[in-house]
Order: sequence, then structure tokens, then C-alpha cells
Amino acid sequence: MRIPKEFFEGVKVKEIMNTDIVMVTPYHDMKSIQEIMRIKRIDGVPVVNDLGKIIGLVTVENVISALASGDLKSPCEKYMVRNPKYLDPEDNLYTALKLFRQYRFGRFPVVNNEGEVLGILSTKDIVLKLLAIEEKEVKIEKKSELEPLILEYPVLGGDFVSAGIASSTVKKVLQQLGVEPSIIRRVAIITYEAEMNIVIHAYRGVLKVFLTPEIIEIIAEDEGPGISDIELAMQPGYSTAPDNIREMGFGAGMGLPNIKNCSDELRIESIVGKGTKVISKIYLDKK
Amino acid sequence: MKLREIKEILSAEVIIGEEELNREINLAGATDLMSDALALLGEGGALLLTGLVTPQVIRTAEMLDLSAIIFVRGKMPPKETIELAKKINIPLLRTKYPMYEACGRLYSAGLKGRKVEGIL
Repeated sequence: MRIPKEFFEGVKVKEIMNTDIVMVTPYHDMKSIQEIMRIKRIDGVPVVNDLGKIIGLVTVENVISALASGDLKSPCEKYMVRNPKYLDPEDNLYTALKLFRQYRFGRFPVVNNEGEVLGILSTKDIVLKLLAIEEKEVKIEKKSELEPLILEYPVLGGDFVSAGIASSTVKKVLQQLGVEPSIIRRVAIITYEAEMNIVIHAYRGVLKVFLTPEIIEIIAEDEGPGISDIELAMQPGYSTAPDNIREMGFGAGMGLPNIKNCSDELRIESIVGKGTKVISKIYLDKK
Repeated sequence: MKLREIKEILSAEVIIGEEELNREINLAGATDLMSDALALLGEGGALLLTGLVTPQVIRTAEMLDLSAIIFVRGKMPPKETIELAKKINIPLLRTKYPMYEACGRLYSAGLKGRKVEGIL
């Protein structure tokens, strides 16, 4: 069977690309990227600079070479594909398929004129999404409203350049979903302070946001030194951050108190020498 | 108060955002501590006066939907800071007045900060 060229020309890359992607900075280690790929079941992770512009792509092949050299602790900058070939969101599927055939790559990042990554198109996406397109033509897809939306971003200790990118992305997603601005600001403050805490104090961590119509739950979990006295850490003004952090305007001992003020419910679990988990909840149906 | 008036009061220079001077500012805060900014300016549409010029200031502004940032004591932010500000479309201004003087002038002109109860 041959599918006519016109069919592919009628489908735009932006319609079928995978937008549920995770971006990293050049400082992210290969191990955390391997984890991202495993958890998200993806085989390519775009690498962006602090302005969010693409500078590379870490592929599963890159992870394998790092693994083979026993070098997973290295920053991904060492292994990533530099200046990767990419697709434009407005490209049609026919153009994309030609590129796939020409280069024999498994996936291409989709990048706009500004150099921002909008998604990734892999051969897997094409196969799966083509099926979905066919389905849509016969019946309207049932949409489950009850499934919670989960956002997840890795945060790397000491990576001040990209500190805030995860929170910024969360904020944009919530804006797109039409969440009330005052709620968005509370979430933004919580995620940003929690993200800064990981960057300042921990080795690595992950920021997760669960969203349902009733509640937003923010979980910031890190591998790090932990907090020995949580009550003390909650005290406004108490800080263990070094001076160089203060020069950036952080480490004034207001992070956890700020998180608390913005949360409806807050729980902190910490094991010294192992890590910390901050769980914050905001109720949406509160009158 | 319009950002344009604030610019006049502080004899400020616009670093970026000349076309955004009609923005309405109804609240201001002054601090070099980003956590304090996060605590005080969370209502949206606010102005931040600061002596800090790192990209973290812009990230903070993004979280808070700040309307503008004014750098005091004539400080010029580095390129990364300006680039990031362009990206989120927030006007940056700078004034030669130091923090205390800049705040005093704006307060006298009627621009208030967030209302906080005076007794600890």
C-alpha cells in the first residue's frame, strides 16, 4: 500500500510533534538525562542555553556512548549533538519524512524562528499520531477530564544559569490552561523558591506539579544534605546559604517561609545526608 | 501612576521597553532580596526598585508578573539580564538616584508599597 504524497503534505509537523518534552542545559549530567529518558519514555532531549535557545540534542545514542565510557557523571555538553538538524513547526510531514530518510535519524527537534524548541518529532510520534489522525476522522476522541496533568522537570544543584526555567515553564503551562492569575502567582512563587533551594543546597532534584480541577500539588524532591532542624529552617531569616548566593539576591532565609505563605498545606520531609522533599498543596475550589 | 511619570520623577533612562511607558503602576517595592520581592509584590502589576542586576531579578519579575524594574544608583545590567527581560517583555529603567532617594521621591509622589501592619 502506498499513501499518497498529498496526505502527508496536508499534515503539519506542529500538529503531530510531541510537545511533552523536557529540556536541559549543557551542565546537566548524563545520568539525570538517562533518568529523564527512562521516565518520560523519550529518546531525545534538547539542550538549551539560558535564553531557551537550542544549542544541542542529547540522543539515546549519546547516552549509550557515555555509559560505555563509564562517564555518566559528565555534563551533557560533552556528548550532545551540537547544532542539530531540526524541523520548523510549519513544515509538512512530507518534508519531515524526507529529512528522516536523508539523515536516518530517529528524531528531530522542532524549532521556531527564535531558536526555541517547541517539540520533538520522532518516527514513533509519526506512527502513533498518524493512527490518531485516522481515528479522529471516524470518531470524536473521548477526553478524560479526571486524569491529573503531571509536569516534571529536573533541577541541577549549582546550576544558577538555568535556575528558574522549570518554574517559568510551569507558569506558562498554567497560563495556557487558563488557571486564575492569582493562583498562578502563588504556584510560581512556590516552585521558584523550591527550585532555588535545590539549586543552592542540593546536588540534584526534580520539580513536579500535579494539576487536577480541585488541587495543585507541587513536589520538590532533592538528593542533598537534608535539613537537620526543619522548624529552624522555617524561621524567617534563618539561612545556611553561602555569600555568593546572597549576591544573587537569595539565601536571605525567606524561601521556606514564602513557600508556606503561598501554600494551603505544606509538608517537609528530610533525611540528613540524603535529601529533602517539599510537598505543597493549593486548593482550587476554596471559596 | 503611569510608568512614564515614574521615569520623569526619577530622571530615569529607559534601557528597554520605551513603547511600554503607558503601563499603569499601582504598587512598588524596593529590595535586593529576591525572596522579599516574592513575598511583597505577589499581587501583579507592581514595580520593583533594586540594586541587583543579575538575570535572577528578571526570573523573579517573571514569576510575579511585575510591570517594570528600575535599577538604582545608575547600575547597568549585563547583557544576559537585558536579553532575558526582552524575552518576557518587561521594561527596564535605571536612575542615578540611590535606593533611599529613589523610593522617597516615588513615595512622596503618591506611589505606595504593599500595606503591612506596623506591629510585629
